[in-house]
Formats: sequence, C-alpha cells, structure tokens
Amino acid sequence: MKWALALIFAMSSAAQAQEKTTTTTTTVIQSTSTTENTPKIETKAEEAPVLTQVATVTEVKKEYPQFEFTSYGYISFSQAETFKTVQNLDPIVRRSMDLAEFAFEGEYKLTDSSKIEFEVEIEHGGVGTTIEFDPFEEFGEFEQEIEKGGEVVLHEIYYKKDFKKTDTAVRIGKFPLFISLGSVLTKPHKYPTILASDLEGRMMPLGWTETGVGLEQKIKYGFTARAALVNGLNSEFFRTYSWVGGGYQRHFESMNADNLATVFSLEWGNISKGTGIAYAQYAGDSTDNRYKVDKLKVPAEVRITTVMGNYKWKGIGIAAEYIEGSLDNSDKVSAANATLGGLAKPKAFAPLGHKAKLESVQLSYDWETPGLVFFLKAEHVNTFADVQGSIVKNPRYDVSRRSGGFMWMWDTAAFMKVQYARDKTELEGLPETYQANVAFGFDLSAFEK
Amino acid sequence: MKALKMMLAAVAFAGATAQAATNKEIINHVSYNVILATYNDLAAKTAELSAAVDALAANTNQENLDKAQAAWRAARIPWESSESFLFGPVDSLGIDPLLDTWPLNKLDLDSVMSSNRKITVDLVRALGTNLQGFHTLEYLLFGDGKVTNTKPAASLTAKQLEYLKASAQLLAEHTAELAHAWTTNYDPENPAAPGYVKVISTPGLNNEFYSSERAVMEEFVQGMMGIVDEVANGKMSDPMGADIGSANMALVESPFAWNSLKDFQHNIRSVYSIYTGHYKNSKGPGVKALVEKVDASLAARVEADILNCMALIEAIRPANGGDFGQAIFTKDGRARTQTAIDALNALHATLESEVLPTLDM
Repeated sequence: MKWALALIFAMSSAAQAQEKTTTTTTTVIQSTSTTENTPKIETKAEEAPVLTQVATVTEVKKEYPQFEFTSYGYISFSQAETFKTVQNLDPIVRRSMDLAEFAFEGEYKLTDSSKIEFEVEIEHGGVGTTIEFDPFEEFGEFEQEIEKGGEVVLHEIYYKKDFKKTDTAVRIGKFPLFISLGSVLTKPHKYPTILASDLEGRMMPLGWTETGVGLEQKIKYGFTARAALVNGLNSEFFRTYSWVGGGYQRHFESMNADNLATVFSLEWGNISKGTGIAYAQYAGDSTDNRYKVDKLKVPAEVRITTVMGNYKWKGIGIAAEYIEGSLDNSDKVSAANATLGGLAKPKAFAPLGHKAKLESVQLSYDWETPGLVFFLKAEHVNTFADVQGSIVKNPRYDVSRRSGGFMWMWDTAAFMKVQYARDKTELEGLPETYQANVAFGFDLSAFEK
Repeated sequence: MKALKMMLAAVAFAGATAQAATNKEIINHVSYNVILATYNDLAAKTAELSAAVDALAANTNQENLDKAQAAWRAARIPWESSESFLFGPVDSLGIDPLLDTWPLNKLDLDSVMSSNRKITVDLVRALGTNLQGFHTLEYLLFGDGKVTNTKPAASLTAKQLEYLKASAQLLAEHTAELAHAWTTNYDPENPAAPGYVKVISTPGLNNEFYSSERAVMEEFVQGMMGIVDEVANGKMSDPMGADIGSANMALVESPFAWNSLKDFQHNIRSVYSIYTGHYKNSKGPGVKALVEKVDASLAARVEADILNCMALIEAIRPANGGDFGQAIFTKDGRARTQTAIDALNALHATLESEVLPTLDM
C-alpha cells in the first residue's frame, strides 16, 4: 500500500512540474457586453493582465470542465434448452426476453490532461421496491415488496491523469482490470457476439472492475505496460458454478480490503481497436476479506494469467484468449464455505477446483458495405482442471461451447446480433444443449470509430 | 341476572388464567422437552443408522439391508419432526442442507461412483450437499421408487457400500454436531457460547437473539407457519404440477423409500408438538396455552385443524400400494392431495391472521 501512495505522490509531483512548464497565458472573459466599454477580465497568468481578445457573449466558450457522454444498451431474446431437474434429462425449451443492459458513460474533462470517467449500468431493466399498505392483510401493516429484479450499478468511476511528456497515465478509483477480453472489449460494437466472452463468467467476474490505483506507461515499439493495486476478492463467495467470480465484492455497501491484489499487463498494439495482443497477470489473497474471519486460516491466493489478442486485417478478424487460474488451498476454502449459514449458504455449490482454464478463439469476417460481421467461435472452460485434498473433479464444469452468427450494424450505432450456440459438458449422461439468441441494441461510441 | 352471569364468567376466566401456563413455562417446556429432545433423538437414531449400514457393509444380506432400511426410516422421524423449528444452529451452522438436500443429484453421484477415488468421509464431505445426507442414503438403500421401494441386497456394489458407510457416518457426525450446538455450544468459533437451548429459553435485553419472550413465541409461530407453507406449496404442490401430464416424480421428497407421506405427516406433527407441547411421552404447555388465554375456541380449532391436516395427508396414500409419488399420477390421488393442500393453506392463514396476533394481546 505504501508503495502505491508513494507512486501516486511521485506521479502527481511530476504532473505539477509538467503543468508548470506548459502554462501559457489564457484569458477568460467571464461576462461581457457589446454595449459596455470595459469588459470584466479575469486572468490565470502570473504576469500582468493582458487583453488578448475581446469577444461578444456568443463567442465565449467555457473550456473546462467539459462533459462528454456516450451510451449503449441492448435487449435480447433467447430460446434455449434446459432441464426441469437434475433427474429429468430430457431437454425442455424455454424462451426469454431480457432488457439486458443499458449503460451511460460520461467523462468530465478537467484539463487537457485529466478527467473523471464514470459508467452507470442498468441491467435487466433495473430494480424496484414499493411500500404497500392493505388494511385487510397483515393486520394493516406497511409491506415492502420487491417489484423488479435487476441491478443499477456504478460500474466504474475513476480519475485519470495523463502525463503527456512521459506517455504515462494514472487511474484512481474503480476501473476495468486489463485481464481478459471481457473486461477490455467493453463496447458492444467492438465484438460481434452478444457477450464479449460467453464463458468467462463461469471462471471469474465478467466485465471485471475493481477499486484501486493503476499506472499505464507507453513504451517504445507500440508496447503499453500497466500495473494496478486493487481491492482483492472475498473467498467466502467463491462457488462451484463461477469459481472465483462470486468473490467479486458487490454484496455489501463497502468492500473488505484487508487483502489487496496486483494486476500487471504488457500489451502490444491496441486490443480494443483490433490491433493488439497482450499478456496479463492477476494475483491476490482472498482469505482476509472474508466476513467470518475465523472459518479459514490458510491463504486463498488467486492467480490468473491471460494471453489474449484481437486482430483485424482486411476484414478478417481473430480474437482469442487463454486464461489459466489457480486457487490455493481450494479444498480448505470449500470446507469453510460449506458451513456458512443464512444467505451465504452455498448449498450444493461449495466444492472448488484448484486450477481453472479457459480457451477461446473467434474468427470473423467484416463485410463492410452492408455493415455485416460474420463469426464462428469456439470456447472451452474447465474450473476443475486440477483439485486438492478430497475435492472431486466435477466434469459438469468442463464445458465446451461452439457458436456462430453475425452482427449487423445497419446504422452507425444501431445493431442486431444473432448467435446460435451449442453447449456440451464432459459429464456423462448430460445431453448437449443449444441456445439461440437475437439482440437489438445501440452503441453511441461507434460514432467515435 | 345478566350482570351476575357476567361476574361468574369473569371469576371463572380469572380462575382459568391463574392456572394457565406463563410464557416462560411455555418457552422452557418447548425448548427443552420438544426441540432439544427431538435433536437428541435425531443424533441417536442417525448413530443407529450408521451402525446398521456398517453391519450391512460387513455382511451384505437381505436381513441386514432390511435393518438398514428400517434404521433410515426411524432416523427420518425426528428429522422431519424438527422442521417446524429450523432456526438456530441448524440454520446458522448450515446443517440443514447437509442433512436433507433434495433432489439428489444422481448424475453427479454416478460420476463419483465411476471414478477411481476411494470413497471416504472426507471425500463425501467435500462433495455438494446434494450428494450427501438422508436422500443419498435413501437412493442407495431403497428401490427405484417407481415400481418398488426396495431392492435385492445382492445388487449393492462394493463402491455403493463404501459410499453408504461414509454418508451414514457423516450424517451421524452432523446430527451430533447439531445436538451439541443445542446442548453445549451453539458457536464453534466462540467456546464461551452456551448451548442454544439456554439462549432461547432465557430471552431478555442481554440476549443476543431474543430480546423478549414475545420474540421467542413469534419464532415458534413463524416456524410453524413456515413448514405448513412448505409442505402445502412446496413439497406437495410442486411435484403435483398443474395436471397429470406435468406431475414430476423427480421433485417428490423421499420417493425411493416411499416415505413421502410419512415425512409430510411428521412435518405437521412437529407443528403439533410446538403448538401443544406434546412430544412422545412428554406433555406440557405449548403455544396453544397462550392462545387459550385469548380465545379458547380458536385454540381448540387450531389443534383440530392440525390433526385434520395429518389425517388428510395420510388419506392421500393409494389403496393399491405406493406413496405420494404414485398418488399424484392418478386423478383421485390428485384430488385427495389438493384437499390436503387446501387444508394446510387454511391452517397457514389461521396461524398468520388469528394465532400470530394473539402474541400482542
């Protein structure tokens, strides 16, 4: 933690030094009138005031802060095979509609080198509660009712400072971790599938953002290095079906920060723009962030290593990632979680794998004139790649998905996505299932292409 | 004359209430002689089940299988008779799902069986809750539940016997832990914590969980309401489905042993125990004593309704054999089930709208 604070202090000192050397005389006319002879002038320059410009009201432009705004969202329709119960393995078909996501992303530019970025997401139509009163029921009590499931979340908010002379940037706040395609390709127009990565959510937090401090340094030959010190996970909520993903601390108002994590990455080119490859690594303990502090006394360090790339050439694109993760003392974490009570009860989902792996490859072709992008995608995740102690490898969580479909951007920012996928697990006797999805949405950030 | 009658009635009422049990007496009796006694029985019966399974594994024959099956049914009685008080350590220590998760995950169980891992207590402990507890034992000890509820002892494989032994031992371990939590120490992380029976029977401002006798009484009534609702709208209604075509055997609890109707009856028996204070040979004041102080006719009506629900559940049993899982696939069986569900929902409404308010009178 100390080194992070020292880093921030050093960077802000450097920033101030850079600001001083680049200060120029700027004059802002606060109020003026064409009928008045003497406009009121305020100056930021250290020298004596110099009138550099006389303008009318209509010509006045407030430079900072500036606000920019973009937004994206989509609604999806799906038809998928599922099962009534674990003992009834004749697939049944269910259809669903989901106001999956609607996001506002804004940024306040404070100077030409600093800004505050934030993103608010409304997922699944938002949330809602009401208070009801019925004198004939519940003895005339006020009742609180949950009216709508979903989520409204401040997905990211951070201050970013660019140091132009050294090509350095610092982020402080809650920002996306540069750890997987799902957390790097955040805008829907950047990927033709309905989600950037379908199976990442079975292994780690999907669209992972954390709170902390991050440093980004551009190096020669197109390389960018990143380092961040962020809030760690909480192993109390690791579950069989999402491995360490459930440890993403969103359950309570504040996040336990007794364990921090580090994230390092080296990128060549720019993955977000379809011209880059990268190596990334996450490491952090998750034991001390538990609420029931006495149930687990051994480290539960999470390590995730990723190699990923997203490259487009003459309309042909390839996006691929390989993620490997490990959880120390996974058997002891499972045992400690198994005896949690109340809402934290994991029921049948306490056992955890020691190692997890994900492989994903997507080939696409961008037919630019009609705005069509066709794709084929193959993914595989296994969160029981290795186990410790008496934990048994569970082949139900060794899942392969094959999918294909297209994205049609019929306007600059409006899109339709169609995806057909087949899922297969290694559990003998569990039939292969399909799902077909159609999504309609918009992405105003496509105007910035 | 009318005034005289009223005075006599008032004297009679005063005399009756003077002899009625206090809330403290109700709480003490229910806590020690109903709840704690049930958990002690559960620990004893599951230990007997574990011993019976060990004997079956050591000498696998039909007689020993019959004994193990009987031991399973006997252990089932105190557990199902505890479901109107699923509060305290059974919840806070996460023991309920370890004992009684349903449906059993046969698919994963088969996968474990086909692996080359040695089946031990620790291995079963590390598996999901739907691969351990009563229903895993039931699946291995009994028949397919469709045409028969038993099996030949010779059909048991060595691996199944290993799994049975480990599961039965683990079940006994968990129920012993539960009994210990009620008698001696409810919080393993705090050795100074007393048994939960002491916590619940001594409400007051210094009590971490129950600040008043009323809070304990509400816990009792809410517990009764919870299991009445679950039996009606979960355990019976879910498998029944909207029609015969949508009835689902896979959602029936205890289908392999054909023990479902016994389970449901014992669930409602636990409501009766809390309400009347009667558990086996022990008799004492229950919630009914409190209701009687306010409305004697309501108190009697609720007791009759509880007994009626138990009778209606037993009436579901098909005349030509089978259990609940068979009844829901016949028209008249479904009609009898619906009658029981309606009666249970009516009982739930009475508990909620008439019994619960008596706590404040």
